[in-house]
Amino acid sequence: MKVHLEYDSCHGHQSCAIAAPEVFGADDYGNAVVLIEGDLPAALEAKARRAVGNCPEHALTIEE
Amino acid sequence: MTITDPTTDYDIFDPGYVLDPFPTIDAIRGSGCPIAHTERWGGSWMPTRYADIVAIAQEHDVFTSRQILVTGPPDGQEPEDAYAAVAAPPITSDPPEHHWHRRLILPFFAPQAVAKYEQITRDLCNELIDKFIDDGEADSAADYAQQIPVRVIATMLGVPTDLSDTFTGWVRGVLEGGLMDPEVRMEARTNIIGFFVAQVTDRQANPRADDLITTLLNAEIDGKKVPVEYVLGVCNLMLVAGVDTTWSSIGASLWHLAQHPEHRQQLRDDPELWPAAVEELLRAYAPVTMARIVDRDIEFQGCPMKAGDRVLMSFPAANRDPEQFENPDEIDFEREHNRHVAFGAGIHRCAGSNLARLELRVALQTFLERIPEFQLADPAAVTWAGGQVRGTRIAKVTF
Repeated sequence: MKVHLEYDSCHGHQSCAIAAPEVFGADDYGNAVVLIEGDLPAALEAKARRAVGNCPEHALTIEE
Repeated sequence: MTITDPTTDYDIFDPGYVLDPFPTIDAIRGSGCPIAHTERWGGSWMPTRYADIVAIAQEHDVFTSRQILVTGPPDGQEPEDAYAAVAAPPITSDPPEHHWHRRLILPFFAPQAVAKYEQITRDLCNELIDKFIDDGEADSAADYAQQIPVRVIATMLGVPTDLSDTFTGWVRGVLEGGLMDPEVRMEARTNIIGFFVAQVTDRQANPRADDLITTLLNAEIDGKKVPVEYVLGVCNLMLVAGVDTTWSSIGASLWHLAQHPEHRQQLRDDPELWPAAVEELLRAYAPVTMARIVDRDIEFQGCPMKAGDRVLMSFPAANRDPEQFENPDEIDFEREHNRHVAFGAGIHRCAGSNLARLELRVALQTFLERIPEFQLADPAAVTWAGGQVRGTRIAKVTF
């Protein structure tokens, strides 16, 4: 499972980084960055799903 | 004047609505007319569905940010404004200027940038608690919540924290009393901007290292220094938007926790829940309602909106919409999907949201650590502010 960020849709709520700080972080402007670009470790999948489901801008998707 | 039908005559300052707006909001949302209208307070539309509020936030070319207060006289009927050129960028900005208005300040508010205020906030919370912990009672709103964000923002702006009570009075003049009385609002606004004119003049003569105002004064756009009105506007925004809002959120969350020992226990048992708990409290007790001004005549969801109409963006209403949130009135720290919009949505997402969250978390954590068991002294005696910013103003607790 991978996560994909549509950067132009992100407005920096940081909801993703709050739910899954191992997977998402912030750039200098507070917008999201994906910290793990490739396949996520299985242990982080549930957190990443929650992060994707918390984004008010629907800027994140999951690629199975 | 009695309200007969909230879909055509809601009153955001009705005492019952201020105390608990959700029955009215639910009634509007559940009616055939989920976008209500009123002629009161200068007139406004009020959508109550999450989907409509988010859609309006995204359509910033139609729903502009020319005015963002929830009340106001029609154009041209404002009291005289000594600082007419000073707005509150980027919250009052529209594209294209909005882009640089916002981009210059975002780095100050990124999570990694606000982290340095965590210890300052914790020390401050502990000092406040030291003052009342031996009394067995305190006003969780006035003695605690109200005292925190104003000092953090003053620290961030590099202005004296011992003026906190003065700042608080000015901010309430804009966001509370001033919403019903334009003269009160203008007096508070003139005080705020006059104060920052003096601060800016001081920084121009004596630039400071590591100082937000100095940094903004030196900022350049397209090879030219930014206008001083922009810097004054940002200072205005930081004070007005950074004080009442977060204080209201801390206060409302303590009001909730005072009545829910099971939620306090849950946080003690599993401290890892804190970040999600803060998000859930922000969802359920979103303090802020913003406004937009319609740019041109349009029909939105069947409503004939005219150029110049005001639309209220009730984030509290969005966050309690059962179409978006299962059991929206239930506080669930383990809620699976929480796309809450306490900080708005789209290009005007609250620039200070990371700081607000930090303050909310630290204020609640510190209170619960020092005072694990507490309850409302008299639930019926709790008072709330409402309209633009919703939160407790008097909320005595005993412990």
